Amino acid sequence: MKILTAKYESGTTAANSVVRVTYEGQPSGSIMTVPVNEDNTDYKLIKEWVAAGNTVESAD
Amino acid sequence: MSGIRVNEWLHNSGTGGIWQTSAGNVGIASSVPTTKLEVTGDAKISGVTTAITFAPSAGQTGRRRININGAMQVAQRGTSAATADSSNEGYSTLDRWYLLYSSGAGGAITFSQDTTVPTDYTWGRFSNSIKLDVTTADTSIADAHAVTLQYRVEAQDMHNCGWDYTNSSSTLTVSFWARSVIAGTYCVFLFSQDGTQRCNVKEYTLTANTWKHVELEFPGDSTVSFDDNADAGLYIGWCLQAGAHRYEGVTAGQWITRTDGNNQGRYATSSQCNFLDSTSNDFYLTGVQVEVGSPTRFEFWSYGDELLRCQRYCQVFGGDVDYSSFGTGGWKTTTAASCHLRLMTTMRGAPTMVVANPTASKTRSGGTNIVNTTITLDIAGTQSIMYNANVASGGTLGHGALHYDSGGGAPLQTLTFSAEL
Repeated sequence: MKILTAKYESGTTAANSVVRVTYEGQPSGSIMTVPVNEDNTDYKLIKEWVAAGNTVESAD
Repeated sequence: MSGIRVNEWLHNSGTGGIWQTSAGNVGIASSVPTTKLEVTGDAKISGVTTAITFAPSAGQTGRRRININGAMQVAQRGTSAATADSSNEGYSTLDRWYLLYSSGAGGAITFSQDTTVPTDYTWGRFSNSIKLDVTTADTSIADAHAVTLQYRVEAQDMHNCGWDYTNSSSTLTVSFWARSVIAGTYCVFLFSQDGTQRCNVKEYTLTANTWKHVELEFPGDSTVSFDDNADAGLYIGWCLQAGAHRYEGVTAGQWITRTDGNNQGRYATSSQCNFLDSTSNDFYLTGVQVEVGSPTRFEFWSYGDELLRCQRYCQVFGGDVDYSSFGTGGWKTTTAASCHLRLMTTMRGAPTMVVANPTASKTRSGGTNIVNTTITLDIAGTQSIMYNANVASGGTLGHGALHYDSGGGAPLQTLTFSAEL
């Protein structure tokens, strides 16, 4: 998955608990949300993406 | 003549034939037999065999197969996907099967579930296979490039499967049926993920357009380790193309540390052919069995068993019928309902949620059914999910909420939860 954008969303129990992601080749209109959880492989990809110099936008 | 009585008899080859002792013990190709029957080597019995108990000294008789969906039956995400680097890369069709274009490798492949299968039933009888159809060729292979089809096993499953993985006398077998348009040498690799990452590559050869059953036994290694947790433990891969860094320092059948040399996962030997060299190329794979010890016939599980095990890693709600119901809950604002969904089985970890066609659903507030604008994850657990079903307006704070596919045919809404490795 090649991440294009990432933005935090705040959940019921915590701020910035999920990340809404757009990625290359994403089916039109679909929505991907990833939990901030070290066991989640998509979240690990987001961390790698950030380590490469990208930024997760703040929640609204 | 009524009989011949001797104290002991044996074939004059010594231990090569039958040996019967005065105690009534019989050995076949054995040294002095100390139990009633001892056979050194394989035995083939055409009739039914019975015993009070069967106790294998290595491996196990049931649940031998470590991998799921080896017969390529389950395809929750869909049966075909056009893939390329960063496009549908990873898990796109058949459950548990991961197609990886490493380091920006080129080419494109349609990855699909197919019905082309072997007609030799010696190792089991199959209805489906993976088909990889090259749609864009790639002959410019950079050093770090590789295209591999992978199956990834949890660390705890490798830790506890019975493989004495630090013992070089103990083996893990990968057996499968493969077929390709292009003849040549192909490679299968093991790539351990915990501690010092270690790779072991083995070769097999294919004749053009001919199914071949391949059995590869990998020895244990004193440096390999698997944690007792739900993280990735072992990658098992079928190499389709490999650049020079992917086979640097590799000798077939010998373990190599990832950080030796170029720090790339080793997926091949230098003999690996380039399956992506032409758009005429197709590759098929089925009957994949990973097991401890020597290869055995493919272990059949019912479709229901396979599906349930796949759902530890991927679950799809909806998509099967109009008006599928999803979660239920309550309206927390006039534009958002908090919905709860009980997962079908416990997942490996907190899953990602992907919603297809988010506006193809409605959420009920009292007597009003309101079209959704977005569906987003709120809290992800391994057993249940809480998510927001959002609308432009019209919800009533405190009302109960039911989120469901809005009907009217395609496109149907699906909620896909993924906790893959």
